[in-house]
Amino acid sequence: MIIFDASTLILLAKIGILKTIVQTQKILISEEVEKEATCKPELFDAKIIIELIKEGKIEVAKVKEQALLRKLGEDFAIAEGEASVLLLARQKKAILATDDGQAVKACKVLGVRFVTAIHFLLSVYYKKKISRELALVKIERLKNIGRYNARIISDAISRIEGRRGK
Amino acid sequence: MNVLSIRLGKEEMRHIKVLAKEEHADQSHAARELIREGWKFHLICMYREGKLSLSSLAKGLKMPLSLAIDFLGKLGIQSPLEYEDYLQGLDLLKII
Repeated sequence: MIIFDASTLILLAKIGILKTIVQTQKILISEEVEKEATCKPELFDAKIIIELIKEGKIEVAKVKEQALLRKLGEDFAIAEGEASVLLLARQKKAILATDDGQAVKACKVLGVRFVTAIHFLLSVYYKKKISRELALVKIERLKNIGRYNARIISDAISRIEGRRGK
Repeated sequence: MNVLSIRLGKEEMRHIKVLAKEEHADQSHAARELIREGWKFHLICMYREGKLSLSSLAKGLKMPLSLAIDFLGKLGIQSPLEYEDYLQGLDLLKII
């Protein structure tokens, strides 16, 4: 099981690989993340996320420790969504999928393992769920909306093109 | 609406007048617009400096997170994720 924050969930929905990921991975989000990701249900990415929640492919959990959630939020300057999934990942000793810089900093301090949207793109490519050409197109899209630094994008492209090992 | 009386420098007054003229609006409207835009810029700078999370930024901008992500993309604001963070994540590829 992988816990997702709204940033990675939205990015993967935007580049069109979220549905592929849920085929092999159990995804868990918090109610706070659900609210952040679906507050404008007419958006393309929100529609995909809503559908996957309805189908039970994305599970939504309630975080009961609201005081702890607020404390995490204050300590790391993160919002409720990020704090709630950080708490879930810590409690369940699970990997957190996040593309938020502040949440990554918190993961490092709290010893929570983390991945980002670009890792999922590499993963679906390595699992042969998408072709090399499609992976390269999607990485271009991720470059614009994920706003990764050039070194990250260049490394990921070399891996997809087979110039670097897995 | 609240009323605030403030002293403005020549340059600040000039900015208000220029914007009012550009937008065919009165100076009060232009001043409010500049404050709103300045606040947005301040939040984006905070995010870029790693002092604000993405969700907190979206909240501050009063935008859904999805649109805030698109907005940052249009502005070309780089994500604060570092190459080192990416390399760490590669070790988990076999699990995800």
